[in-house]
Order: sequence, then C-alpha cells, then structure tokens
Amino acid sequence: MATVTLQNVRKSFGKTDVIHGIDLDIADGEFIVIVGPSGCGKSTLLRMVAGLETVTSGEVKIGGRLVNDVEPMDRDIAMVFQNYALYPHMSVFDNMAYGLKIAKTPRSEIEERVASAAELLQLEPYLHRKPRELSGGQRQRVAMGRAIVRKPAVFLFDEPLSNLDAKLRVQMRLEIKALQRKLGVTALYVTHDQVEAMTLADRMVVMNSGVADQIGKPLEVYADPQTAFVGGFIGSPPTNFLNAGLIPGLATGNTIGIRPEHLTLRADGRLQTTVAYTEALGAETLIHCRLPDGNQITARQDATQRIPAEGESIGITWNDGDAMLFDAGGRRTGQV
Amino acid sequence: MAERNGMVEKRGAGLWLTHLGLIIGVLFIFFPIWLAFVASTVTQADIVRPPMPLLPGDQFFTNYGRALTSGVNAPVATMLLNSMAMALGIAVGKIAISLLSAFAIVYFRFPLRKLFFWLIFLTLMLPVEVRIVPTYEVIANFGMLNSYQGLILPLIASATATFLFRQFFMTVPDELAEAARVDGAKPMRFFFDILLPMSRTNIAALFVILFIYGWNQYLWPLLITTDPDMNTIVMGIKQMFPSGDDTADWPVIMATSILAMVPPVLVVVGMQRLFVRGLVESEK
Repeated sequence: MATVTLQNVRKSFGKTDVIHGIDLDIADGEFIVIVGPSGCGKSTLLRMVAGLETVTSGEVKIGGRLVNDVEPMDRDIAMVFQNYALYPHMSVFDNMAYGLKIAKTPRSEIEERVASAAELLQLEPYLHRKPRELSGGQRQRVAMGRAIVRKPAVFLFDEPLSNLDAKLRVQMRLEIKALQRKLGVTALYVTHDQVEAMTLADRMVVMNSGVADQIGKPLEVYADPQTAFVGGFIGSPPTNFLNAGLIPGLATGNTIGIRPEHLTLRADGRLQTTVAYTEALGAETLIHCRLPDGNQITARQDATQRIPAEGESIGITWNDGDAMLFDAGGRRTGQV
Repeated sequence: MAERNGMVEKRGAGLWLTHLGLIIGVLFIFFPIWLAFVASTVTQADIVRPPMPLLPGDQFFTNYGRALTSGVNAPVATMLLNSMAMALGIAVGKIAISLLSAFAIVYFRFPLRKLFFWLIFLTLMLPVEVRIVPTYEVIANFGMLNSYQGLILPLIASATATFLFRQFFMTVPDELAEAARVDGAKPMRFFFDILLPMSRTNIAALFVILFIYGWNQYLWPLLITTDPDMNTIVMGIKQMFPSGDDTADWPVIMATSILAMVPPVLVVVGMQRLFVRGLVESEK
C-alpha cells in the first residue's frame, strides 16, 4: 500500500509529444480511474507508472520513492492487461505463481498465497487448467489473481474489462471494486468507458490528447465539468452543446452545454425544435430534436411522460442554473 | 444432405476407387524399396541371375551383419554413427542459433539491427554449394577436416529457421513480454520459461526437416572427409559402388541403403506424435 505521485510527467516518442505534463497525487488506498478516448495517452501514462515506458521528463514516485529508473518488478506494482497476457503453456497455478517463483519465494508460501488468491477469486476448481480451457471472465480473474499474489503496493489496470461481453463487464466491475476495497490497495485504472470510470473511481482523471482536463470525484466532474471536452465525454447520452448566439443576451462564439436530463419539452420553449426521432429505453426515453440551425439536441425524459411523434414541432426549455457556459477555447467560464 | 454426407464419408464404389488409386500409388513408390530390401536378404549369386527375386531370401542376418561390422570401406555402424552425429548436430545447432538470433532481432533494439537482419537474410542466397571452395579453405585452415566440427559448423547457420522463429515471435503478444517483465523475469528467463515452451511445436517441425537435411548431406561430407572412419552413410553408399572391374557386393550395398533409411523414418514417425499433439493443443 502506498501513495503514487506524478510531477509534471511528460512523454514524447521521438518528436511527437504524447503527454504534456501531468500532476497527480494519489492517496494511499485510493481508486483512481484515468478515462479518455483512444489515443489520449492514458495507457502511456499507466505504462510509465508501471515502468514499461520510460519517462521523458518529470517524476514518478511510488510510496514517496522516485522510481523513474526502477525496473517494473522492483516498483512494488502489479499490472492487469487488456488481453490478460496469461502464459498460455502454464496452468492457472503456475501463471499466478510465476512472479513469486522468480522472486525465490519459498514453495510453501507460494502455495499459500496462490490458494488464498484462488479462494478470493473463486478459481479453486481451475488451478490445474490451462488458460485456453477457461472462459473470458475466468481468464480475467486469473490475471487479477496473478496481480494479487504479488501483494503489491499499487494495482495497475489497463482496460481490463474491454474484452468481456457487456453483462460480464458489469459483474467484473463490481468484483474489482469489492476486491480493491477489501485489500485496500491503491489502484490506478485506465478505461475508455465513462460508465466504468463513474462507478469505480474515488477520483477520476479525464484525459484529452495528453492533458489531464479535470481531476476530481466522479459526481463533481459530472456536475461541474471544467472543459467542454469533459462535459461531452462524461455522461451518456453526451451533453448537448449549443451555439450561445441562439440565446438572446449571450455572445456568439461561446458555447453552452446542457445535459439531456435537464432539458424539458414544452409547447412554449426557449427554442423551437422538430422531433427527429425518439428512442424509448423502457425506464426513460431519449428524444432527438433538430434545431433551426440544423444541429441536433437530445433530451432525456421519464418513460411516464408523453412521447412526441416524429416530425412534431415542439419547444424545448431548461433552468438557467443547468446551462454551462464555455468560451471559444472550450474552457468553462461559469453558469449562464 | 446425402451429398454432403458423401463428401465426408464416402461410401460405395467411390470409396473403393479412391482407395485403389491410393494403393497403386503407394505400391508404385514402395516397389523399389521392396526390391532393395529383397536384394539385401539374398546372396550375390541370386541377384545377378535373372530373373530378379521378388521375395525375401534367408540371408538377412548374414548380409546385415556383414554390412554393420565390416561394410565395404568402413563398417556401416560407424557411418551410421557419423551421420547421426552430423544430423543431430546440425538440427540442434541450427535450432539453437536460429532461436537465439530470432529472439535478439524481435525483442532487442540494438544498433545496426536492420543490417544484421538483412545479413542473415542474405545468407539464404549462399547455400553450401555456392560457397564451397572458400568454406573448405576456412575449415582446412582451422584443422577441422575429418572431424565432426568440420562436418557440422559450416551448415549450422540457417536463415530459413531464423525467419520462421522471427515470424512466430512476432505473433506472440507484446503484453506477454511485459507481463513477464512485471513478474520480474530477465530477458533470458523470459526466453527459456515462456518463449521456448511456446515454440515447441515449431521446434519439433523444424527438427524433422533439419534432421533429414543433415542426414542427406552428400557433397560437403564427401569433400572434407578423407578418412573412411569419418564417412557418413549417404556418401558411404556411393563409395561402395565398385570402380573399374571390381564386382559390386550388392546384398551389402542394399542392406546399407535400407539401414540408411531407418533413422529418418524413425525421426519422422516419432516426431509426428509430437506434431499431432502440438496441433491438437494449438494455442495462441
């Protein structure tokens, strides 16, 4: 168990800068999720913490110790990879025990640690199977088991759930959260899935092309995004962005963002729209409307409310406090 | 549906016809070998008197005994041993060197990596026959004529095998190497613990091919072995043929030929099991 500190960490591949200086303080036992679209540098950042990628400049500290030039195995970390990276010719037991064997741990202790990890992950019946004889979820558990037996100070997860089907993903998500709580280990988790980020994180880091746009508690980030990118990336369906020029009294060039759940359909709205199509999801209904300027805007309403017909002309409105104002550069400038 | 079944499980006349075709083919290929076997079990007199015998005689033990212990120039047992040493040396050596060079090329970044890769590639264009004179010179200067080293070393580098392993290593996901690194495995540990066991089916396949390649070497052993005790079996057979007016000891020559065929057959049959097991266990 340890803290992780990143100080102005940068990474370039040749002349291309991938990470433009990230500062992050992770408290002991905290679950941090790094979320962003593909190519934003989130995996690179994680791999720098793991020691699989060199740090171009800045400092990476684990437990207060500078680890920039320390080999992965000496960093007291364990990593779970996206494709699990299990050794195909080894049994589940050997996969989990491999790191301990290299560290010359006594045989009895290896058996004890693997047994307790297997019990924790319900892998006991499969210890003698090869990875290919396991299902995706079980392989995922083995990969986690391999991380657990090392008793690391920090867990690193690199999109561990993206190879699983949707149902299993939800289940494993809960298991990972429960496991991390139980073991109390600091965790750094990379994902492109904002739902995973919202549900797992104590704090999340939203990355956008090599920059940490916002770091904060999930609900704070959701409620109060600091950039238009964060507002658009976190939340599904995404925040609607309107040209501020459409609203009387606001300067053109700026943008306002309104979450779908904050929009209300009324006969006399602030804006007049046409319903393009509707998606009834059961508990809620998404209504996609077309604005006079051709842009689309999505409202989310309760299933109990009337679903307007496609092609119907309808007004749309919101409370002033729910509209977020962004400047031309995408930075948040306040409420409307 | 009936037709589709027919594709998988042929019944009736078609089945018999295809089998008949295959059997004729096998007999056609096998007949000369059968003749050689028959000739190795009869006396010299039986062979030279027409018609040729088509059924084995009673001289099996005499002929094979004579071949193994005395032969014509050198005892066949010695030649078999030499061939075995050469074929095993070449097969094992080639596999070891190719594995290591492929490992270096795929997993390490060192200066001139590309150049070395192309140098290896270039050797494909230089089989033994092309470089035979300079190679002979080198081996002679090292004093390796009439030695196992001389037989094995010039044939031990293999661009083909290096390529095969390179291609295979490139299909191994990078995460596996990274996982091993996080687990604390140093490069050679990763090589022996993970890469080597994963390549075992490739190794088995290559071993069969390379063993037969080494076993069938003719020109190179012929050139550098002058001592009959260093003869290999394939060149030995040729040397048993009489020159001038001598009479050929056909039963012994045929016995030698049969004996020369046995080890490659055993390797193929033995390795086939590993092959099939490897194929069934195939994994990504």
